[in-house]
Amino acid sequence: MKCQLLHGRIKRVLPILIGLIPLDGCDYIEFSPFDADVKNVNYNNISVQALESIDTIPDTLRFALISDTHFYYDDLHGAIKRINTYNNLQFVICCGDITNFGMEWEFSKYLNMIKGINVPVITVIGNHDYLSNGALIYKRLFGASNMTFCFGNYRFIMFDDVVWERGNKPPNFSWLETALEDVSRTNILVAHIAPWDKQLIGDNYETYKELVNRDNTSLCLFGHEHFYNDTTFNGIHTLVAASIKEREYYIVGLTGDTSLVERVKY
Amino acid sequence: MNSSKILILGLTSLLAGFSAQASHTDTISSLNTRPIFRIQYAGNMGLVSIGVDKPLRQTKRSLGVNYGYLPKDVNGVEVHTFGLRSTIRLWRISTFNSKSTLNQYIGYNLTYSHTRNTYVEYPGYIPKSYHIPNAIHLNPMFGFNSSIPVKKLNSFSVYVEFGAVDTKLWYAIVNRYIHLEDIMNICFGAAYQLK
Repeated sequence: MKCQLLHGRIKRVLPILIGLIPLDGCDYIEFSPFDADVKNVNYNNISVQALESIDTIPDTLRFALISDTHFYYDDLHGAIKRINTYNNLQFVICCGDITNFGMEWEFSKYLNMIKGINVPVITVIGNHDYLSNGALIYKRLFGASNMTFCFGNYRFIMFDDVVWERGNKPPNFSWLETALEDVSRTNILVAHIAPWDKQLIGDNYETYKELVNRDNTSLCLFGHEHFYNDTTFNGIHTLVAASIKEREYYIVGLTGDTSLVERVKY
Repeated sequence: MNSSKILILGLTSLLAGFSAQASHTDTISSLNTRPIFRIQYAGNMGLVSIGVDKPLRQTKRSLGVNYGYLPKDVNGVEVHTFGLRSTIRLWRISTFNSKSTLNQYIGYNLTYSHTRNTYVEYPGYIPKSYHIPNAIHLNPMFGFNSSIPVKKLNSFSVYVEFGAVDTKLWYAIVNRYIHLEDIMNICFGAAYQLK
């Protein structure tokens, strides 16, 4: 009787154990949520190289703007599907916070998703992206957190203005100052945190205000606040992009010094 | 393997376990409460972790502590992880002519990890409630262990566990785009129960 019971149990268990075998081991091995084992991809640089290879520069530059994707993967997926329906976009800019905890898995998930966008994507670092080992992972996957790139007559200054999650250190304003000195093209400032945010209030705000002005910048793009805000900073047209969770993105058109923003809900 | 297959696998094994538990008593005594020492590979505890479990008297539960290390050379960062572990055995059967036992259990591992920029309480310059603490994670899991079917070695066992860290589990719950196969991890280990 006992033998029969045992035999019955084994029969029940064996298919389960056999079912485990097809698990593709390597994909499922995780050492820690704080893994930083990523290859040097430098995806921002790849995107910039792709832009540099474009010969025909349109009169009006059009790009899509998204922000604060965090863990809203369904919403990001929806945005990507919509963005891919345009045939007149040059690139996509993401204003940071592409993770919630700065985990490698989150970075990789975002990167794999944006690789599905038909045009190059350039991503600025956000404050959440600094958590855990995020700074190291971001650097490997996307490159330096302060960078510039040019397209046509425009120069995009991607500025890392995170303070608290970077050890309460002020942003590298000397880098920004140098970047803004070049006014041979129209400068567009892209950063995660708007200068009036509580992370930057005080000396950092004053420095921001001193450096970024209408003489050297024609448009500012920020994220972080999670809600849409079309405003001005220091007299400069400024757009704060909502989180992708709000299921909206923006189509920014640049002609000369003029910027037009189309808010698209999906 | 798609997510539905993993889900079915997990649920089937749990159901099988519950039904087995409901219809039969364990063939092997639950009175063995001697500590179990474990060494484990992966499973969100580092490259290698060691731990000790204490089966609780007259129950199918055991509690344990573990420590794992992830060296910088292996993964780019050094991570120390400390865990509190609780498991409950769902079922146990004898195998190999009663020379061995196969157990299935479920449980969780509550971990604290020390690496860069991980906090239980964030520094004072960051307002309270601004971020969720990122150093502590709950790792639900289920696993199987089997003792070695050799008489002199039957204090040794091997195990395999499947789990997911709480954040990823949450992402899978709130996103249709994230599947179970995206979030699950597997680990392997060996254990020795004191005689």
